[in-house]
Amino acid sequence: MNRSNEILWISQVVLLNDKQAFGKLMQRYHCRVRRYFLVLTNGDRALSDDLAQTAFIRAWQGMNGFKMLSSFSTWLYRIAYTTWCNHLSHAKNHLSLDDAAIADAVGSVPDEPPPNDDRTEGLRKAVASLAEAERNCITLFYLEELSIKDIEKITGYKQGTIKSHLSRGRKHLRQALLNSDDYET
Amino acid sequence: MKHNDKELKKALENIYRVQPNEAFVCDTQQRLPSRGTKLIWLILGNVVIWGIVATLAYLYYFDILLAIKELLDMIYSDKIPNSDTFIPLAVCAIVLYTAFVHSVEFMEYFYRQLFERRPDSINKVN
Repeated sequence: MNRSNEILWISQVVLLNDKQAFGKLMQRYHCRVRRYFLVLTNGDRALSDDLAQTAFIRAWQGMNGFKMLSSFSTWLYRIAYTTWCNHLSHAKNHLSLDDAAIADAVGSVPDEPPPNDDRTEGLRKAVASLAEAERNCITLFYLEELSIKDIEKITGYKQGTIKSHLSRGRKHLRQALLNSDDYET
Repeated sequence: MKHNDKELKKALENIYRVQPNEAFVCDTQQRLPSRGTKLIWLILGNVVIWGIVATLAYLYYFDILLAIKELLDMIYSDKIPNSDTFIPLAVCAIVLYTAFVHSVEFMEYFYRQLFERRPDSINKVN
């Protein structure tokens, strides 16, 4: 039923330029896309919402290119991923090479109130310290529950590479969790 | 997913919580740009307009030729054009201009589809 609703909405968008139908698709996916960017921007809600909006607008404009050979969510995540890549390259091209300026552009200051426990803070710092590729793979695999195959379609990385990123990322994050006193293995 | 991974997933979900935001959806919906003229209307528009041009040319070709001759005479020898030929000439000019604009829009649409660089993502996944 969900899938058939989705196909109906997509058809309405493609054939009739129906913004209401696209709004229904947004309602289904906006939390996931915003959360994806929230991790990448290290908790910067304003920036993540801005990027999410850009991603949805690009999805609207490129809807004719969606041929249903993958799921809509995979296609949407791919757009979100390239939106993020474009944002990063734009930040590097238009700002000075000052690390602090670039860090601000990619969201180094979380908007969330300070966490109440060391474990959360430690994990947040560990996620922020991951390499870009590792953070992407960890987010897509754990938070968005996508398969390795889907992550391959989204990021363009080979499956072996994704597994390496996941393994390294997991190791760093588990270490951060272990460092907090109340983590139980 | 292994037990440890589930712990990790729960911990990440706890940190990066996102609530549904109707305002975000509404705001984005309002910002959605026009997706451009639909191809079907472009084709129909061109068929109609060029059909009119062809019909007028067939029915009034002699008058049109005469009008063009009058126009050239006006330009090159300062001769005042005959008012009988002026009206068909004006009509032809308007129709031709409209046909030209439609054709440009048509060609622009195809140019965008064929040659404009799109984000690789959209084409690669599919």
